[in-house]
Amino acid sequence: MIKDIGKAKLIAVLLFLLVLVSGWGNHGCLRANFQSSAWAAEEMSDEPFLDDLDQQETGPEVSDPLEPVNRFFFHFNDKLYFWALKPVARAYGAVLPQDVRICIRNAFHNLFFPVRFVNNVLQGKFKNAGIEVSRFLINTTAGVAGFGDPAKDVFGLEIKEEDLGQTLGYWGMGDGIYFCWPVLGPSTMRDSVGLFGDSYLSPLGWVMQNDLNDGLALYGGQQVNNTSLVIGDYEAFLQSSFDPYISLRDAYIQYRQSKIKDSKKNAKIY
Amino acid sequence: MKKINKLHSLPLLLALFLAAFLVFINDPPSCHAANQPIDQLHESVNRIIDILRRDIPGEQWVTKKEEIVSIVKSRFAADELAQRVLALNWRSRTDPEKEQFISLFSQVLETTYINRLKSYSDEEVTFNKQIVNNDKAIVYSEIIKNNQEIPIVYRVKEVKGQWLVYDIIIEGVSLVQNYRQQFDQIINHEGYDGLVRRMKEKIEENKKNDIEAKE
Repeated sequence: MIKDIGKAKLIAVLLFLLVLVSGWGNHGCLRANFQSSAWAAEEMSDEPFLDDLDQQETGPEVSDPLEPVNRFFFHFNDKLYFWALKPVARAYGAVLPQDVRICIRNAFHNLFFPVRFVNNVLQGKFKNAGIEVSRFLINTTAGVAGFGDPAKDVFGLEIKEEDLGQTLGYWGMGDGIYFCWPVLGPSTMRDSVGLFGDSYLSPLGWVMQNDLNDGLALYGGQQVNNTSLVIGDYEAFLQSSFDPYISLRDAYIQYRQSKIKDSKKNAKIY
Repeated sequence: MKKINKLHSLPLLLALFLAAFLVFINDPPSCHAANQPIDQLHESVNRIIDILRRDIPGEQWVTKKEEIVSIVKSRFAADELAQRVLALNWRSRTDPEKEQFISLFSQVLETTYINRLKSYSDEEVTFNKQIVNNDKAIVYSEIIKNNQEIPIVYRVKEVKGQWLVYDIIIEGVSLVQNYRQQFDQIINHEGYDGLVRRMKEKIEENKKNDIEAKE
């Protein structure tokens, strides 16, 4: 019995550990997690011009030995989106006005402050870590439990998005192999490890450890809310691609690598 | 007498002033600035947004679409884009095949993305900075959607004084590379002919969706 509870907790943590980075197996969720503003402040080098025709054949690629399994879960997630997530998010979006849903998204984002703070510190970005502390304090108080974002709107403090996957990448860890997890969507070995670590810093992870049902409900709520703001994105993504599985895999890898590159560039400033 | 003279010359002065003003508007003093990639892109995007915002009663989407397509086409380096998407496979193509691929891929992009502009609803677009390196440049812009900034980066190259787009990088994801990965896979499994077939199918499929959406 005790063992079972322990197991349930472990499963809860495992499930959760893939939350932050991956989102559902849809493009929209990639977008939902995009909160970067770092690029605006980055110091540019000549690096972007390394795209001459002769060099460009070696774009970022990822090893995908589990492709058949990954494809299976990709289709599973696809169905999950169209049969469950989308209808629910639609109904939810019809009831709640968009402004309210944006506020709820803000509130969830605010809760994940410890993840961003610790990972900024782990990368030695103490100034950014301080900005995150200020953001959390301002938004939790003046922003009423994080529903508003006065830290950005009034004080111009931009989000300093960092997670453990980025931290590991920052310190030189490669992608490892690619995974497409059921429910949680695209990830890599490194990002899955990162998610596991981050779950110990995340309030959602703490809730799950205490009560699996509450945690799953919260997670589901967050996903429904965030999805309601990006309905149509995944459909458009499907329409634009010839092989959605490959397209999503490549988009995920490119997106994460650009995040890690941003992390490294920012390090030059601080 | 003097007073009358002054009054007579007033309209003339006004006209002169207006003429000068109009010339000034049409031909900004900093001609140099108009050749900057960021300004050229910004101008094209503004023209597209004006068309999207335009609210003439009875105007069909098709009319708007044609205008937008012509603006977009004049701003894209279709050949460069196609070449980069095919990458290694480009060299083994014959000239007619290259021509065909450029045309097909342009149609794929056009039929895929043009109708998505229909859902434009006053999203704000900002152009933030550019980096120029000889005949290549990178232009950084952002679109604000649902309170979130989405970074969009354009890679452009200069052709006869015009800066033409050959890649768009949205949130770190390069369009060219994303298609290249998919096309590599298709060519490996189905050969180049398979790719051509798939592109034709895609264009047909998009056109069909377009017609269905209209009905």
